[in-house]
Amino acid sequence: MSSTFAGVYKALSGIQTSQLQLQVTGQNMTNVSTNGYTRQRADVYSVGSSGNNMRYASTTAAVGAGVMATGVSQLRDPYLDIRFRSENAKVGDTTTQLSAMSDIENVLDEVKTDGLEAQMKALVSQLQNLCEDAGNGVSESTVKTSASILVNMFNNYSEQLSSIRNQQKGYLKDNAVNKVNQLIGNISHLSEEIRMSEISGSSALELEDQRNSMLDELSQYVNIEIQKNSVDIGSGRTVDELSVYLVGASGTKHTLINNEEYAKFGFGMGTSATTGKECVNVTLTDLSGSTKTINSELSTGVFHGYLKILNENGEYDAGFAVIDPVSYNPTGETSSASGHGIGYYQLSLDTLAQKLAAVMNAANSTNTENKPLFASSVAGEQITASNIALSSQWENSTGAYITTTKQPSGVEDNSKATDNILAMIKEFSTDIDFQTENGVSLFTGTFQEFVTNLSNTLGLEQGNISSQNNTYSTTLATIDKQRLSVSSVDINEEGINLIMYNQAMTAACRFMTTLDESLDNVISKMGIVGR
Amino acid sequence: MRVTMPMISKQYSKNLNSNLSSLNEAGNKTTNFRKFNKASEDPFSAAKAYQLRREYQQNQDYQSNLSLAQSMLETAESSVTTINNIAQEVNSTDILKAITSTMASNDKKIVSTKLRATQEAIVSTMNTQLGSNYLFGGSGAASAPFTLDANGNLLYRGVNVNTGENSAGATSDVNGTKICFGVANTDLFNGYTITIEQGLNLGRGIESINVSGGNIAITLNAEGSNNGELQTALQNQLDNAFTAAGIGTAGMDFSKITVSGNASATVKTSEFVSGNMVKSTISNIVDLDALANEKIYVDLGLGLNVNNNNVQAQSAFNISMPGIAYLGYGTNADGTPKNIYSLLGKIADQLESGGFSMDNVKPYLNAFDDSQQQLLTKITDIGARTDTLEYTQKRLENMEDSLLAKIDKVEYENPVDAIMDYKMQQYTYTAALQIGTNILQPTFLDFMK
Repeated sequence: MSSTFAGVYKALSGIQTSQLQLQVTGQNMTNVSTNGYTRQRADVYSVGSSGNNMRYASTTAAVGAGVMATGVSQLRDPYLDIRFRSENAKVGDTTTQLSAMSDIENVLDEVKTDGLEAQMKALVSQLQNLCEDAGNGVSESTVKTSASILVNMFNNYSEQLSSIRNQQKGYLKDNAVNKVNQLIGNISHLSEEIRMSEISGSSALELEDQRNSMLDELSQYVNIEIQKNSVDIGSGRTVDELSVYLVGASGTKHTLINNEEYAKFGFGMGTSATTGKECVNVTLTDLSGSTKTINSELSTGVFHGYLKILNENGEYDAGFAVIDPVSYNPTGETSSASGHGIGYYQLSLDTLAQKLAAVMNAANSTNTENKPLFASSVAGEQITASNIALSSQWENSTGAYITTTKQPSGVEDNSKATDNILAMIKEFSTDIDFQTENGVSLFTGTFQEFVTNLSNTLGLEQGNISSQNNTYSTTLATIDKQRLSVSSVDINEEGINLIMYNQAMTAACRFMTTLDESLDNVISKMGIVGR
Repeated sequence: MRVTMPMISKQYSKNLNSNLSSLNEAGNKTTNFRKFNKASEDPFSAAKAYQLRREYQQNQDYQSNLSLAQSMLETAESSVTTINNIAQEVNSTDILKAITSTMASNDKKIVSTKLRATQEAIVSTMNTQLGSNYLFGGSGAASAPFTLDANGNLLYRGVNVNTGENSAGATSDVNGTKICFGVANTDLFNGYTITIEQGLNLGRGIESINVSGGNIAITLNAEGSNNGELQTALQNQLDNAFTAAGIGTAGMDFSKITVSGNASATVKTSEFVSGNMVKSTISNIVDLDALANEKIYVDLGLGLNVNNNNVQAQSAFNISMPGIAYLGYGTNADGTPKNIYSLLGKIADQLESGGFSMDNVKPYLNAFDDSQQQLLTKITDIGARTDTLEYTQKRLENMEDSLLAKIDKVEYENPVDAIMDYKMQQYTYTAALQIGTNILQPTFLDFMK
């Protein structure tokens, strides 16, 4: 037999629960356009009748005791989150590479603007013109001017590529590494707050949404894995603790965040132990305080994109004896070619400048006289694209300097013969084998074909990375759509819920008034006989 | 699948953006009608385009060379035809044919004066310039090719056209180092050989100069020497070397010995062939055949082939026209000169001399006929070269047209296609905009009471 006022409590529970549900619906509706918001639901259970009496069975019918809301929860699919984050890393990686490549393309592309290859064509044209008037210092001055423009162009290209490299370094250091450290710090603090709040009973759903957004952003930079451990805090309640790991290429997990403790990324410059070339290092200071370089562990994400652009020199990395970066001992293997970063294009231009200078200088020098056409503007340094210049002998010569002929002649003056000029012109259509310093073959073709080959290699790679980027972006968008399908707010649904909860509230209130009337009958109208 | 408003709006916005980007690209194509603006948009077509542009530039270079060659040949042809006309006139009944054994001395004077005047005309015509270049100077650049020496002999670039004697004196080329021993010293040095070898003394410079067995042996110090040092050493030490060998050096001016070229150019030692050091001869005789066959090549796209600084004859076009090839050089078997100028001079000499006889003049008259025939042959040669040029020009022009057509096909879009595409994209974009408003606006809330 239930108590007199038991029904009132039932009605009260109904009203309170409906109110809560309306509040939750309101919360959903006001956040319909908030990015990253997950729709919430009140967890509502019907309450059963009170438990068994140990001593004797009850003969009356048992009725439930109303409705109870145990809490508010989010509707989210964590598996979709995992898939989203792993795809996001790939998108970050390809987007970073594309943006750097598009900068390089602006320097190397000659489809619409005249660049290095066009200037080489101009030099050949001037040499053709010189055949008409060989041996004349005045006619030669047009060739000198053309050559001067050519070396300036080499210097220019080299400078622009250097500045792109510095820019990318800056982005990595200031934008990527700092941003990631910021994110890691924030996620860690948020996790702490969420944990505290869960311990004290409220579920901090909005903070969880914030943390999820930050984790999404972090996943763009590095390849992360998230683990939630349930920790028992007594009286049968558990709280989730969040750990974030960096999954390395070898499969090793490096802890990035463990509750309120977190690791820090760093940036450093160094040289590769194997190739001796300049390289950029991303370091990780882990929870115990020790710092180490983790370049090889970053296999995807924005960091990997920057590392590839800055550290990989293509065929120029091949042919070295591999040296273990930790123990500094040779491993006995020979390095192979890596991807084509900025270094590949810079070093290719250097190789071209050296080869061009060597061939032209040899063509102009006789067996008695060394008459170089090109030289390094920095004494003692090998010729590179940044220091190639006209030789001081050519610059300062007032008369004819170009050797027009190498035929012996009985007469004093045979400078109008053009065989050497034609030989020089022929050099521009002769196939040359371009190699790296280790003898790794780069390309076989003429000087001009080498230049266009650089531009084409870049174009092909860009096309490749661009289509990868498109694929990953499309997949990312699909996964995001599925995520939204599960967790975003549908106005129509909330509208229907409004009506439903309103009705429920009205019903509960009506029940209350009904009870009030019936009790009124019992209290006020029963037992008034004989008054 | 559960579909929500945010999902729809996100997807719609992404699709709209993609439409807008296509519209933008199509718009770009209608401004310049190019198929691609960057190599990355179409790497294979870009590679083809670069190659075609290279070939086009080469074609333009060849055509410019060709037009120069044509103007040179035109001018040369008119000059040589003038010479021929002069020669014909001279060989007419008025002048050469008027020479008989019974000529009066006045007539002889008239004829010889005419001949002298003709000589002058020939020289000035053969010194024609085109721009700043002497047309008939072969590979020599500096000055007019035909000059006269003190005795009235015709010199071609300082070389006597009949005997081949170099007016600059005896010279020698030792593995690239050219030493000239001076006109005054010709008699002494002519016929000697010269060798240069490396000695053992430390440092730079000349160790010693020895003369023995008809050979001048120059020994360099271990670190070698340059042209300037060699010149000084020859001027100062050669006198003593000859005296030490017991050879008289009276009347020789050693200060006229020069080493040509840059003073700081290294002096090479003599080459070795089959284990023997090559002895370079000192001679004042220049090979007139070589001078007459000098070539100046220009590239006309005939498949230029250069081997060890020798241009293969069929792979380039020769624009050189050495004057002595037209006027004749050297001497006939009977001692008469082949050169037209010299012949006229000899005939005039005979007319002006006291002991005139037809027997003396006849050989020269016959030689003149022969040389004139040779000149006609040479004129035909110019004509043949001009024909070759015309044919080559047509070929180059055809190639130019076909290259331009190919470039157009590879790089440019048909304007009609580009504009149609743009219109299509515009239509798609507008349609997407209109539909958007229908999808995004109405919700359940609009219908709730």
